[in-house]
Amino acid sequence: MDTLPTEFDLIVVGTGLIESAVSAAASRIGKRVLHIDSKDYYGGLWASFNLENIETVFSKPQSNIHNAGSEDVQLDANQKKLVIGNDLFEIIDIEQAWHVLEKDKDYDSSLLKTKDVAEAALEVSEECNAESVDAVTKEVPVAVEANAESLVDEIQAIAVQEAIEKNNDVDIQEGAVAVIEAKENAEKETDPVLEVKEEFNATNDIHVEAEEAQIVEEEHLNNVTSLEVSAAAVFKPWSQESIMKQSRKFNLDLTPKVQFSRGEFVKLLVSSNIARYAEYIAIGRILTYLDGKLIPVPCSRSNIFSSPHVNVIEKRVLMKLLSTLMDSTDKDFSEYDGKTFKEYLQDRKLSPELIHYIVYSIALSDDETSCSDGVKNVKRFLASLGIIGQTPFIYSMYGSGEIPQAFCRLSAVFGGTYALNQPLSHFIYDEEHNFKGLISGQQKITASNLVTGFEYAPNEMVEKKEMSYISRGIFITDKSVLEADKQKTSLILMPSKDGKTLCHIIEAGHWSGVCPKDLYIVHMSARRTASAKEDLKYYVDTLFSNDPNDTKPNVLWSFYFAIPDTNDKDYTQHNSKNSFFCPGPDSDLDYDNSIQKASKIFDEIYPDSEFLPRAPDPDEIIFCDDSDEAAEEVKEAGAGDLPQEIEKTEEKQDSAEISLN
Amino acid sequence: MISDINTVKMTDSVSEDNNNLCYKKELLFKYLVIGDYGVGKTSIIRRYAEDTFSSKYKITIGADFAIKTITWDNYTTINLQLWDIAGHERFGALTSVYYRYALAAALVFDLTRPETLNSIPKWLKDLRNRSSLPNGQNLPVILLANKGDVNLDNIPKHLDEFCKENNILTWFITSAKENINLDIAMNTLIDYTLHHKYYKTPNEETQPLILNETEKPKNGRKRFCFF
Ligand SMILES: Cc1cc2nc3c(=O)[nH]c(=O)nc-3n(C[C@H](O)[C@H](O)[C@H](O)COP(=O)(O)OP(=O)(O)OC[C@H]3O[C@@H](n4cnc5c(N)ncnc54)[C@H](O)[C@@H]3O)c2cc1C
Ligand SMILES: Nc1nc2c(ncn2[C@@H]2O[C@H](COP(=O)(O)OP(=O)(O)OP(=O)(O)O)[C@@H](O)[C@H]2O)c(=O)[nH]1
Ligand SMILES: [Mg+2]
Repeated sequence: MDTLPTEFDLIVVGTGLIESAVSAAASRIGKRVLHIDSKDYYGGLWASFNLENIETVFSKPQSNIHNAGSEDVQLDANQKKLVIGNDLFEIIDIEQAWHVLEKDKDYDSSLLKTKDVAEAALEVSEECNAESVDAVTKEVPVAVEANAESLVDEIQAIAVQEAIEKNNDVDIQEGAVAVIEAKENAEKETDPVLEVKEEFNATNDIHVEAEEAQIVEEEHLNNVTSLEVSAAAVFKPWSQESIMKQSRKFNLDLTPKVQFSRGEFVKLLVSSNIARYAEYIAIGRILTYLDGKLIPVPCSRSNIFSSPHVNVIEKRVLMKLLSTLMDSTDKDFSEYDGKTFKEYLQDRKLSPELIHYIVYSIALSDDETSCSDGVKNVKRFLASLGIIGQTPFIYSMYGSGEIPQAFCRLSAVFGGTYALNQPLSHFIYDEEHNFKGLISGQQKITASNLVTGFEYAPNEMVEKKEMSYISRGIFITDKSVLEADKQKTSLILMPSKDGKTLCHIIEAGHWSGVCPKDLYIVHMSARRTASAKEDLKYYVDTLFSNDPNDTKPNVLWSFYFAIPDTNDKDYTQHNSKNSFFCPGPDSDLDYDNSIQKASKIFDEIYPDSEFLPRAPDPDEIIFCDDSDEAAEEVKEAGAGDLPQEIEKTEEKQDSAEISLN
Repeated sequence: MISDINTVKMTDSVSEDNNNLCYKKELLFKYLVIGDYGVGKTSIIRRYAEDTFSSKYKITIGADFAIKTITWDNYTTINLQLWDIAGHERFGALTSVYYRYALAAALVFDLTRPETLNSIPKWLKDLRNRSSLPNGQNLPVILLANKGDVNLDNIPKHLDEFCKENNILTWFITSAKENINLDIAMNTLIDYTLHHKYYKTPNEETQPLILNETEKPKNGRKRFCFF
């Protein structure tokens, strides 16, 4: 393998989300970037792994330190070497376990017999389940034509409802339904199945098929549910062997995240055109745990109206409250300074159930969240509603580990040099604490700036304070925590017993590209207080069971660990003006906070440049026959400049869009 | 996702002026071109897609792939996406974006630098680990011994065995400079893909969400429009 070039504008160490975003942004404006990682995979703590690899990834020594050869590297007189990596950063509480037998043949043969019968029965029912059925029942392709007015609609609907209310002689619920029906725009919230049909209509040759599929689907559902239940009741179909065989179908996130469909992060993905490297699926429902049951949280307008879990009066109260919060300004809550959001709601005389929905699910808060933060969160939640499906959230297809890679791909396509699996040993600094370069193997590589993941920060630059951690659990289960007639990726927001913390839980199935058919992946993340396993025990005991006869899912495989939460506090302490340390994952549901940090680091290094302007699509790039001179021109062009061809095509694109509007 | 994959209509469509069931297929295949630094990947792609050759290629900044449209027969048009490894993504693994949805790969080494053949197993290993066809099988792979115009004296022996051992379909001596064997080589892969029907038309129902700036209903397909 060839050696690396030795001179760059920017060295980025670690391929976590924030590092990758800075790398992409710097390459995008024409900087010479070396993006280097000591691991042989992308994403660092933000990566996803298949089942086989996740077991080995933590069993290897975690240290990023390699020393071989570094003594041979010559330094200048006033330079010193700092060993890469620190003692503060550590992944702890690692505990992996199987909860099924090792081999298929280990199951006792009487059980296996029942299994055969049941399996045969299932196969039959699957046969009648034509492939198209599968497609129709999928929740994925919600044909949304989002528009900026969706929230306005929401509010309008409330206004209409209030009008109805004043007219009082109309049954409120009926009125509400009428409102929904009357409003054409509300179609974005209609049942996905219907929408698939509409798409079929549009391509009308396969229209009939869809109708048929629908009928088959109904039959299928009737047949299968009963079969599946009885089948599951008699056997444990999975063994370690049968799951491991499909190891590569798993994409298990170290740091699972969902995104607000109109949040800062998604806006950036779209505006920078990095969205072309990512695929998403809608989070189909938000669940919460109330009165001993998991129930879907009514959050969009249509599911508030249709929810059997809120009565007619509560529906009205909830809609009204949400619209009040939406229109509110900070001073509306001045009397709640220092009080919690829950107190604010209690003062509004809401029922405990409504308070539960609002605090834990819509405001993504716990009992101790301040009123102003609660309100802010509600606004954020509502702003992303009505864009896709029934919730404000989307999840990255094939797992969250795709996202850092999307940034890395952009960086590489814009000339970034990538080097994974590198023997990093030292950073080089001068006496004025200026970063000079790093040592990888026997090579000294220099650059004007350093951006590095916190895990690589040298001990000398780390402040020794107590580290906070996120307790994580990953579970492979055999069914959904709440069976639904459609495939739904779920976000479960579950307060702790005392209401003081909120556990974020994501459940995804094979349609999200994270596991094989008939299995589910459940991710839990909570603030660490004792250990990962103890912290999550309550949620595990509540959601799962180890009795195969139970309707709750069985856990087939579990994996606990805790990772440092370095986003809350700054753990670095240094006065190097050209070194920037990226925090690792945080305990937020989404990336908005992290992407802001990336943008801030970029602004500090390149204050005059735009953070990730739109990248051209392939069809906008004209391959110029780069003669030697042209190639040189590119090289000599000012650092911030882009090759001419791109700028030109971008202009063209802009004007084309303008003329369209 | 990967650029404008969905804008190319993959579903069979009845040609409008003809009510007989005359199907015209427009297919989209994503192929990868992989190999060490300087073996001629970009040259091969440019020669094949645009019939040009230059003695000095810089990476094409910002481009993920080149497209070549091939009229295969009266019924079939193939849009071939050729994915170069981004010029400098070469020290180690490639991103999942690069591998996803790929249907075949051409591994390239340089006849003037026989040591570049030694890297082929490493590239192949990454490819096999990170990609598979929709049916779970390995991607078909061919081996290109490039710069065949320069010298043919030290063609490594045992290339047949090498291919057999590594499960590579076959190998070709190619030249991007003189345009030798590129069509034949690529056609081998296209034949394979067509014959095994390993490509799937991305069907509308299973499509994940694609985030996009403006709604451009190309070929009747709606995109998710966000802002
Ligand atoms: C050039 C090209 C571009 C495509 N672009 C898109 C796109 O933008 N969006 C999209 O949704 N689909 C795309 N597809 C793929 C096609 O639509 C897939 O068959 C489908 O999305 C997967 O659906 P499934 O549920 O049957 O997956 P499964 O068959 O269950 O596949 C699951 C696994 O197989 C892999 N996989 C699936 N399809 C392919 C494939 N064609 N090649 C290699 N690996 C695959 C996935 O990475 C995943 O790990 C593209 C295919 C081609 C040939
Ligand atoms: N004589 C001859 N030269 C070739 C041929 N193909 C490529 N070259 C030359 O080899 C050099 C490298 O070619 P590139 O196409 O840039 O190689 P690459 O694999 O894309 O290289 P990287 O992108 O840097 O990894 C250039 O000088 C080409 O002109 C060929 O078939 N014959
Ligand atoms: Mg090249």
